Amino acid sequence: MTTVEFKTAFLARFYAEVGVDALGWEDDEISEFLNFAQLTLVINNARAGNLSAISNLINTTSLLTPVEEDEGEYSLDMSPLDFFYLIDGRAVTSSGNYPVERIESEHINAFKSNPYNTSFFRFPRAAQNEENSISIMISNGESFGVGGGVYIRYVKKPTSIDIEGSVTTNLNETLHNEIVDIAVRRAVKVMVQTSQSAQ
Amino acid sequence: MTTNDKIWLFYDILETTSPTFKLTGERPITTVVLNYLNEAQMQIFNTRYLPGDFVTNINTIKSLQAELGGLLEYDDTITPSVGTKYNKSYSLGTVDWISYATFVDGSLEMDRETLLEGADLVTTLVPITQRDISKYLTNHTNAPIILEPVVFMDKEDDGLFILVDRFTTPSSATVTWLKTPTDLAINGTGSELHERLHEEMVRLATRLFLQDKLSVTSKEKEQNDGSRNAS
Repeated sequence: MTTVEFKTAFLARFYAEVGVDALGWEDDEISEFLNFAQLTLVINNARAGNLSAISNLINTTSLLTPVEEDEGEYSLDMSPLDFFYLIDGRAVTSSGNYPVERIESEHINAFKSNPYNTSFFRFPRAAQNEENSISIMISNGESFGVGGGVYIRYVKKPTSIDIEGSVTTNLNETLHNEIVDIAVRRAVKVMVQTSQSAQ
Repeated sequence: MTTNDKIWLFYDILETTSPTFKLTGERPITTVVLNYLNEAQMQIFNTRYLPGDFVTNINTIKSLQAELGGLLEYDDTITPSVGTKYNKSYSLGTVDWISYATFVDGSLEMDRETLLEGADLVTTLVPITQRDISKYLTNHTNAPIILEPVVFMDKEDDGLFILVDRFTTPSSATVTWLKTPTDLAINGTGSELHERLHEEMVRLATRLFLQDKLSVTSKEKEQNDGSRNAS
């Protein structure tokens, strides 16, 4: 869809949904709804492991050298990259090449070394943090050493839709209708919340 | 299998049971894993070597002696001292029942005044249970002839005692003990139990962990359901 087609589809479905005209949504507001929708769609597909739908956004880094933070715990700054969502990776450690498995950051403590826990796990674990960084945990006795590091497979941010600037999404065409659907649902929700708070 | 190998296997089994233990905070820390391994070690030890009373245990241990290796400890420095609790009883010393599980075997060097009399006679100690003590006690209604002195454990008095007849004077004793296996520790040498019991130990530890985990989870669920119904 072009930006004009996105806007037309959004307004038409919004009207179909609520039965009133589009409350004077501006182009940048519609762009905002569409961008929210495409990010939601990307993250849902990534979490569900449905990577083929977003295959054009998937990238693998070159070998990156993590910074040691603590015993067995390393960090990677992903901000120079167009990083959006960590999928998995491959680690080159002192004892060989291992797949890196993604964990959620709230579970990171189970894998950290401390006086009560010696980190024993077959494959390194990686957790995505809020500030575009990744924490990597490797097992007890392992290190990255010289020539070691990690290759990270991740989802890039999709191109932001800008109706005014005529910039459309780079997501697969098959997802465009779903983007509009999510954007409309979001707009309806905002409208309902606004009218409730005005009462 | 070293202790670290056991921890690896514990996690492998757990991760096979559910990916929850692979990727989330439900994964137990190693201190918890060690606790379960130690509990499993003691369960196997008790079930396998201490299945019944004093005499049954000794017979079981003797039949499995080949796999006990370093858990059997030999002490030939014991001098029996006159016991005060029973007539013609001798104490073989105070026993640390945390480090030692049971008496396994022993012999006594003794002098006899009559009936197979002689000096420095050596005979095997015959284990008896405490309920059989009365048959061997020397008192005004009983004067037993005990050619092979009997031995029994008295955990109340932290000791090992022998009963002899009125013609016997013990001089020294040798005893074989079954030690309690030491607790496992990270980077430690491993369990003192026989190697072929190690995998069973890890599998039992995993079962115990899952049993606790699942029962706690179902209790939590019941409580949550209960509080929902109440509200």
